[in-house]
Amino acid sequence: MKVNIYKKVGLNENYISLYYDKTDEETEIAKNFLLSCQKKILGQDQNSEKERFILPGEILYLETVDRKCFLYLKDTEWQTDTTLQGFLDRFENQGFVRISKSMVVNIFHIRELKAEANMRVNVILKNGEVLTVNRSYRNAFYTYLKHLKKKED
Amino acid sequence: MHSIFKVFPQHTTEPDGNPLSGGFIMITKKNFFPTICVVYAILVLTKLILEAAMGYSDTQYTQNLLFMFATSVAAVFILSLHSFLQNVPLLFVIIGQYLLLIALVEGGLLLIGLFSSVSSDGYLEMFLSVSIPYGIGATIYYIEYFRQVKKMNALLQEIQGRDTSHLSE
Repeated sequence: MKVNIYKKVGLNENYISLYYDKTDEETEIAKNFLLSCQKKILGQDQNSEKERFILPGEILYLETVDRKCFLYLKDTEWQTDTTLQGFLDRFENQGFVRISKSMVVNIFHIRELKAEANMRVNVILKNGEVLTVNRSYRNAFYTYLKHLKKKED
Repeated sequence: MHSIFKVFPQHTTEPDGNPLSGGFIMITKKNFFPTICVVYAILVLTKLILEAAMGYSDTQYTQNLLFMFATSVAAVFILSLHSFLQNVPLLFVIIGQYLLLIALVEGGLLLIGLFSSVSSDGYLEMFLSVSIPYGIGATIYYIEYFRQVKKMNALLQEIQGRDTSHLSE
């Protein structure tokens, strides 16, 4: 892959463009690296195969189903190539925490947590959806909130 | 909006993918044996203090201490099975683990009884020795669970910068 780097005086914002014909391994690595710099994630619509960049703040929660990772927004869902751990490595500091082996939630979209009598913790999202915190992840969730609060202070 | 969290070195999972433990001690492969040691030490210490206070002399002292060690191993092992029972309601897990522990302890005592003498009150004493700490532990765990969720709600609201008063009802 050919790489050109130019200095251009007077730009309002620096930009990088990647031109490719077919996606090979090298292009894929470069694309993922560039996206990681941009702090956006590429989502693909399952039906139309339309692609869209998604800001982490838009994501309500992520779920892995059959080894595929889905991003759930307010009204839509998108498939992404990343894994939950890969996503957390990039965006954990932006309010994302694992609530089960296959689910990560954005705490900024949580309305409240409800303690159930059977000792499960339900996460009520602002859009009314209900997720469940796995018992093994409850303490990690609590620790995460404490660290986030400490960071905020 | 989230720029205050630019540097956040803490992870919510261990490198092996297991969740981090928070306020409670989660029994894992790493702390399995240290947990046995702590449980055993607490049981033996309690027994010694009680005997000292009551002036009670146990004729089968060594055997009792060894049996308590076996009980500690069984209890820690049974409690460590929690990770395989995530989809079972916790109340059933607590009761099931208790019944399994009681069965193991009383079964072990029955086995010992085949080779040496067990006092007539031995079965009842062992039943109480297991049931009382287990009951206390389960109660504390249950209370702590509700307290933790309440705290988490307060933290969540503080982080989101919203009013928490409606959640404390």
